[in-house]
Amino acid sequence: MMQYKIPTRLDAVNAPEVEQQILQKIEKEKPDSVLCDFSETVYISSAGLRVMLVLSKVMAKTGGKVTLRGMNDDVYAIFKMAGFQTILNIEE
Amino acid sequence: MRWIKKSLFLKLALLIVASSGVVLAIVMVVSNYNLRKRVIENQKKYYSALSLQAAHDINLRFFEAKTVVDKAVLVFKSKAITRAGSLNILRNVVRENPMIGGSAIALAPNQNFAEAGFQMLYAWRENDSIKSANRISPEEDYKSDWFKLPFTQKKEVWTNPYIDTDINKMMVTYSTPVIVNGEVIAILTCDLILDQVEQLLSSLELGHEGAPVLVTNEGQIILYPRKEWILKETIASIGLKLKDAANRKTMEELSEYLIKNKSGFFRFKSINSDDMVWLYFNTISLSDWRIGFLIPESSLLNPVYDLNKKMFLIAVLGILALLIPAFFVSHSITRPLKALCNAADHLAVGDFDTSLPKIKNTDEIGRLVHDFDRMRVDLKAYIKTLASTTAEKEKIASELSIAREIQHGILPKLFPPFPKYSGLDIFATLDSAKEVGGDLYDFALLDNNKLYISIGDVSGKGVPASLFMAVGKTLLKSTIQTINDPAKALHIVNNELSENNDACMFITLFCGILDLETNELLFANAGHNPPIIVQGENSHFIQPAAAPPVGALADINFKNETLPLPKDSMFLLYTDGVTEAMNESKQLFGDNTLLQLMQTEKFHTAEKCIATIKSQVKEFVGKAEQSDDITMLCILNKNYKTIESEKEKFETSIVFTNSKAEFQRIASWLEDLADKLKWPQPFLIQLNLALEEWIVNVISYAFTDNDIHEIEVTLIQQNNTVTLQVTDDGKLFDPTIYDPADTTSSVDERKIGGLGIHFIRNNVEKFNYERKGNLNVVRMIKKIAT
Repeated sequence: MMQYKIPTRLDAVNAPEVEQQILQKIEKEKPDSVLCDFSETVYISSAGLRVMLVLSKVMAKTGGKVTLRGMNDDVYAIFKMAGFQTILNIEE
Repeated sequence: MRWIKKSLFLKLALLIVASSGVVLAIVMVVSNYNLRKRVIENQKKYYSALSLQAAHDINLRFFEAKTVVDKAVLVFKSKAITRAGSLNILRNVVRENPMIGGSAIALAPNQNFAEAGFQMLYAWRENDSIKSANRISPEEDYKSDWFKLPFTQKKEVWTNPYIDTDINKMMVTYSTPVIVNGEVIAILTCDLILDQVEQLLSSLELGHEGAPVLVTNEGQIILYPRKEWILKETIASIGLKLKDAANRKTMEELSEYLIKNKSGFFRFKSINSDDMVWLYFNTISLSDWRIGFLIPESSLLNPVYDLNKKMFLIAVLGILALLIPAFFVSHSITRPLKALCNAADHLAVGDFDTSLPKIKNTDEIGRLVHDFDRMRVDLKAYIKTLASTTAEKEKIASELSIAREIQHGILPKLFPPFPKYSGLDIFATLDSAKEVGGDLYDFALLDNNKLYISIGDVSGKGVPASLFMAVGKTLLKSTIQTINDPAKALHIVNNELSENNDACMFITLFCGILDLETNELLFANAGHNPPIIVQGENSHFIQPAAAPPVGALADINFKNETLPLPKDSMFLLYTDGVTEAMNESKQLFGDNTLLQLMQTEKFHTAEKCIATIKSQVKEFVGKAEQSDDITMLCILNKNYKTIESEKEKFETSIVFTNSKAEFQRIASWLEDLADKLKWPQPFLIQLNLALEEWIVNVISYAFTDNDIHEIEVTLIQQNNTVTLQVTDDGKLFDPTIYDPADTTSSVDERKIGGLGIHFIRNNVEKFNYERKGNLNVVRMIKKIAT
């Protein structure tokens, strides 16, 4: 299981960089599951949601699981706004 | 024989040869048959003539001999009978005719032999001399045929032939009686040697299988290839000896026929083989012998067989030779066909430049090639036209959609448009039919608290109507801005539009100026639908003075009228796209329905009013296609004059450049403001989301050059409402026309991207776009929840 800590903000500013980091890590470790830690995140924009979607699609190819954990209410509300709560595995 | 089936060339060539061959064969058979008949006829004639000729020849010889004897008889009768004299006569007879081998005088038994000096005298040819002597045994002679027959019958007689043992030759004797006073006193004879006859017959051309036949009138064989039968058999006797019954019958019939007939021909099966034989014969009249020729049928028909062979050979050679022109003809037909086939293949894949063979002839093939070539040329041109037409259409389609964007862009769409006048609730909408519409509405704040409003409907739809509309709107607005007089403005605009209006388009227009201080509307109408005013319980149509639409005829004077729009009154302008909206049963929505709707519903905002009407119309129309632009403008007076006080208003602005590095400034700018204005965290986050989405979008997509562009963001907060306005000079992009993103599909189905606009809409209450000149202006309004 690979762990990744999502930064405080995941938006247009740093989304491309974060995406690259995660994907490189996956290619190196080839994990069977990935855990994204949102405990310190206060803001995510559509750019950040896109990163989560890319991650899920990549892992789905190898049958791996992606878990998003530790979101606060505001962040969860944003995921809900985009309808992502049904397609991504979000835990408390 | 599949290779024949596949090749027209071979089929054609073989067909030509085969049919010619059949015709040739039929011709050959028929002519062969005719020929055969003709040949047989000819042969018959020939052999008949030959036998006749032979008979004549032999007869002539006999006659010559007979004449000599007959002459001798006369001489004998003329003198007294003496030995010397008689000898002389005999010698003369023999001498005179080389065919005569001997001659005799036999005195009748009752004559005076002593007086005569002899009984029977005989002279004969021996080598080169003629000898004479008494007959040795006259008694025997008196018994023989040559004496008895003429003596008893008192007439000349030709005896049957016999072999003279002395000279070993075949002879025949001619005896003639010497009659004096009715009595036969002597018999005079001559013996004819028949070897000349033999020679004659054998010299004839009978073919190498033909044979001469000489028989007596009783069928006794005188001359015949079978030497053992000569003088020993008759035809009948031969027949009797045969074993085969059929052969016997043949001989019987032959014998009968010969004896009965003097001339003719008889066809019978040979007794030696299975071949048929022909016998042509005639009669030597003097001796009544039958002279004939036996010709086997096969040699008779030789000429026919010969000819058959020749004809067959010629036919075969002919057919072989025919192959050449047949191949040639076939080739001349199949070559262009092959070329056409080839060309068709090329055409099928779109190669229209394939060349066709040059055919000079004007027969069907030539015409086919010519027509095919024409078709090719036509196809090429047609496809070219089609391609360019399609390209044109696509160009037009894309131009149409651009035109739609432009047209929609020039309409004022920012609501609320005049935040300063918070008592003025104004809302408008335009739903166009067929991409680009002919309706228009417009409003603008003129100087000194006056609001210009207008609504119009151009005759027609599509690009021409929209262009006309654009011109009309611009013209009216600019005129009104200088001349605050609706009637005059319409007059001027009308003159402009009716000039050079070849298409004779026109616009129904309602144009008004609302004085925000006096609540009075000054208006003029040019043929447009009567507006509706709602005041409390009362709602009715305004009946403006009748006037024609603008653009049709020049120099029309319009009339200014006034209408008070007091507080809480609602004023609705609309086009006939609303009242004449048609459902599938071809029913119209109707003026009254609209009025009823305005009457019964109590709308709190102009926007609600228009939204309700729109949804009612939509419901009414159902599945039918929207036939006309649906346009409405609604004003609700909530005390226009109220101008919000300047206090409690906060305004600030910031400029971003179009680089991704600027993204982080958005968040920090908003954070500072949140701090200053005490925004709740969720509010900040939501506003951040909306603003970020839009700015990111502008920076990413609005600019197609590599220049630096500025994006100005203005924030106004008043009455717990934040208004963000973003202005950029990028390419026209109206985000409000895009469908909301799909937020319900699965991970696989979800497209990456497209969430931005969704985010904006979800986070702010109002999201409007307006194109102002070369600027995109986007406004977002969000209320701070209390």
